[in-house]
Amino acid sequence: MTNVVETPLEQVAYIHDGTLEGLLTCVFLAYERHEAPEDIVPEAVYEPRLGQSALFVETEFQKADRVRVGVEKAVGSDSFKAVMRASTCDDYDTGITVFRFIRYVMARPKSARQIPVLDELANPAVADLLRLVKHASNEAERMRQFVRFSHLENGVWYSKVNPNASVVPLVMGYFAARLNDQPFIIYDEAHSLAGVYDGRSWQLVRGDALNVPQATGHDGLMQEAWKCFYDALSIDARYNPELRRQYMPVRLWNNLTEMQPRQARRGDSLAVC
Amino acid sequence: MDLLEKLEVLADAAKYDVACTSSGSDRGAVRGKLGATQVSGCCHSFTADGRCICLLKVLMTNICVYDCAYCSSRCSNEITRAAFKPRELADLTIEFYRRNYIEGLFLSSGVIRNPDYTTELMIECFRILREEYGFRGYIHAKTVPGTSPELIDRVGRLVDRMSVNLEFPSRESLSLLAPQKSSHSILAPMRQIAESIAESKETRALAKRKDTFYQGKIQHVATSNPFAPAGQSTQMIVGASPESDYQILNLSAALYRSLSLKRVFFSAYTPVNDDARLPKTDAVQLNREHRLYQADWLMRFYQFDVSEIIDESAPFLDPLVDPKANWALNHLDLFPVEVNKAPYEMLLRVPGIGVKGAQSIVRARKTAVLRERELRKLGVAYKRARYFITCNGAYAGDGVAFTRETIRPHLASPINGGRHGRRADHVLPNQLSLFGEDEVFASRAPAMPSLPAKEPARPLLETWEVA
Ligand code: SF4
Repeated sequence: MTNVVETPLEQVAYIHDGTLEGLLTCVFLAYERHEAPEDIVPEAVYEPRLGQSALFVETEFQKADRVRVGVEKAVGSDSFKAVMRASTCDDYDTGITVFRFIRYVMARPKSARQIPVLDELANPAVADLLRLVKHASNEAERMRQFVRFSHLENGVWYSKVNPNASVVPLVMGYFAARLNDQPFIIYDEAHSLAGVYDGRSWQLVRGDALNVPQATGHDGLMQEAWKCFYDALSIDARYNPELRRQYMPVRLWNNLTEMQPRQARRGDSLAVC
Repeated sequence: MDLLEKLEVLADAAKYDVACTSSGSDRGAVRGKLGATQVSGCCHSFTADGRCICLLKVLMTNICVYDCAYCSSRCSNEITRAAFKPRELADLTIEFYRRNYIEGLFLSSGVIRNPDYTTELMIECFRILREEYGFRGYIHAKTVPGTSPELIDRVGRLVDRMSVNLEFPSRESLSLLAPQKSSHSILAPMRQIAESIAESKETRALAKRKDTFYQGKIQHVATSNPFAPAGQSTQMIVGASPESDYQILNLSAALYRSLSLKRVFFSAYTPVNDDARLPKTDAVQLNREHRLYQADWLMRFYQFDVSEIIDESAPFLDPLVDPKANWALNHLDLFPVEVNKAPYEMLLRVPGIGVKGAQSIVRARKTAVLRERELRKLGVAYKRARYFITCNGAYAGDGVAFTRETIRPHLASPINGGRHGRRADHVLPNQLSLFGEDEVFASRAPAMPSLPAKEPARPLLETWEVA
C-alpha cells in the first residue's frame, strides 16, 4: 500500500523491509500519523501480538532522509551514526528502541544540549540504544578479525560470514580502504546480504542465490599454509581451549580457514600438519 | 624442503616470543597501496592456548651460531634447520594479508653467520614489502643483539615496531644463560632505538605544523620515513632465573621511564632443553606471569607508581589477590569514595572499576545520580567495587565490616587458567581472576598515560649493563 495519512491507530505494529531506510520511514510515519507504534519490525520476523494491527510501510528514501537530517540537526552526526549501528541488530526491539531514542532526542529541551545525548547513560531511551550499538560494534569488530577471503578463479576475493547482526555495511569501508584495488565480496549468509567491492567503490546486494566459482589451486595451498602456521604456534604447556572459545566463539568456526580439517600432505600418512 | 615444511619449522621456533601485538601505529589507507594499520591493533585468530595471532610470526632462519641455554634453536641442538629467502617470506606475508589472516609480519631470527648478515637478510625482506609491494600493514622487527648501528637505523625506517629482547631480568642471569649476548649488545641498540624514535617524533611534529591551512584537503601521509612509529618493546623470561617480582617490576618501570618503551612482555619459562643451568621443572609459572601483567597494566593505564605495587619487604606479588585490590586493602583510609563525586583518578583506584567504567561514571553522573543499578549498567564489577564506594552517601558494603581482614576474602577470586596445560599451581585449583570481568585486558586500551618522572631510573639500567 502507499503511505496515506489516516486516523491514528492504537496498538499498531509498523512493518518495514528490513533496511535502515525502511526503519526510518516508519519513524517518519509515526510522527506524520501521530501514532506511537508498539513494534517496528522487518517483515521477515514480524509476529503479530494479540489485538495488534499492522501497517505495512513502503520505504521512501526522502522521508528516511528527513529523519536523518532531523536527528543530526538536533544532536549531531555521532548520534545518527549510533542509530545506524544500532539498526543492524537482529533483536525484535531494535526498531522500537531506535524510535524511542529519536523521539527522545527530538523532544529534548534546548537547555540540555551542552551535554552530548550519548552521555546520558542512565537514561533508558539512550541506554537501550547504546546496548544495541555495543552489540553491533562487537560483531563488526569480530568481522574485521575473522573474515577470511579466498581467491576465486574469476579473480574476485570471497568471504562467507554468519554474523548475529547485519554488520556487513559497517565493515565494507574498512576492508575497501585496506585492500585497495583488490575486488572482494563479503556474503552474509544469515541476512542474505552481500557487500560487493569492485576495486573502486562498494555496494550492498540482497539475495540468496550467489553463484560462487571455485577457488584457485594456489589459494588451496595458501589455506594449508595458514593452517600449518596456526598449528605450529600453539604451546602445549599452555593449552587452554576455554580461553580460545571465549575470544573466538565456536559459532564462527565454520567460516574460519584454520578451524577446517587439514589436507593430507605429501609424505604424510596422517591428515595433520 | 617445501614452503609448508619451512613455515612449520620457522613458526614453531618463533612461538615462544610472546609479543604479538599490531598496535600503536596508525597509518591510513592510500589509493594504489595495499594495507593500513590501526592504533588498537587487531587479533585475527587465537591459538589453542588462547593467545592472540595478529602477525605472521616467524624466524628468518633457525640456523644459529649462538648457544643460549633456554632456546630450542641453539647451535648445540640437533634439529631440522631451515631459512626463508627474503622474497619468499615477503610473498607469503602479502598472500596472508590479502586473505585477512594477519595484520602484518613479526620477524625475528637466529644468528646466521653474524648479526649483521642476519639483519641484512631481514632488511631485504622488509624492503621488498615496503618498496616493491607498497605494503602499508604492520611490521615488527626483533633486532639481533650485536647488530651495527647503521643497520639498526635502516630497519627502523622500514618497520613499525622494533624490539630487543632483554631475555633476563638481571645481567648475571643473562651471562649465565645466554653467554654470547652481552648486556651491552642488548642495551646499546635499545638506547639507539629510543633516541631515534624521539628524534623522529620531533621532526614529524615540525613537518606537520607547516600546513595548518586547508588541512582537511591535504592527504596527510608521513613524508619522511618515521623511525619505528609504533615504538619499542622488549621481553624477558620469568621463572628460569632467581630474580624477584620486585626486581622485575622495577626494571620494567625503569624501561618505561628512561627508554620510553611501549611494552615490556613477560614470558613464563617453558622448558625445552635439558640443561644444568636451568631449573628442573615441568611446570610453567603462568599465574606469576599473569600477576606481573596485572601489575604492568596498573603502571601503564592506572597511573600507579611501581613503589605502590610492590616493595622490597614483600618482593613477590600476592598470589591470592590481584595487585590493585591489594593496594586498596592496604589503603583503606582513602576509602570509601563517593562515586557521584570522586575525581577520575580516584575512581581508577577502586577495585572493580576499570578504565572504561571510570570514564562511563564521569560521563553518566553529569545527568543522573548513580546507584547500584546504574553502576552495574555502566560495566562496573559491582560485587568487588561495593566495599570501596558510597552511592549518594550510602555505604554499599553489604554488612561486611570495613577492615582489611573482613573485605579481603570477598576480593579473592580465581585466575581462570582453564583446566589444561602445565600451570605451576594446578594443585591449587582456580586462583583469582583479574580485576573483574570489566577489566580483562581490553583490546582497545586507551593511550598510555605518561608515568610520573620520580627518581631517575638510569642507575638501575646501568647496573644491568655494567658489572
Ligand atoms: S641467539 Fe640464542 S635465543 Fe636467539 S636463536 Fe640463537 S640460540 Fe636462540
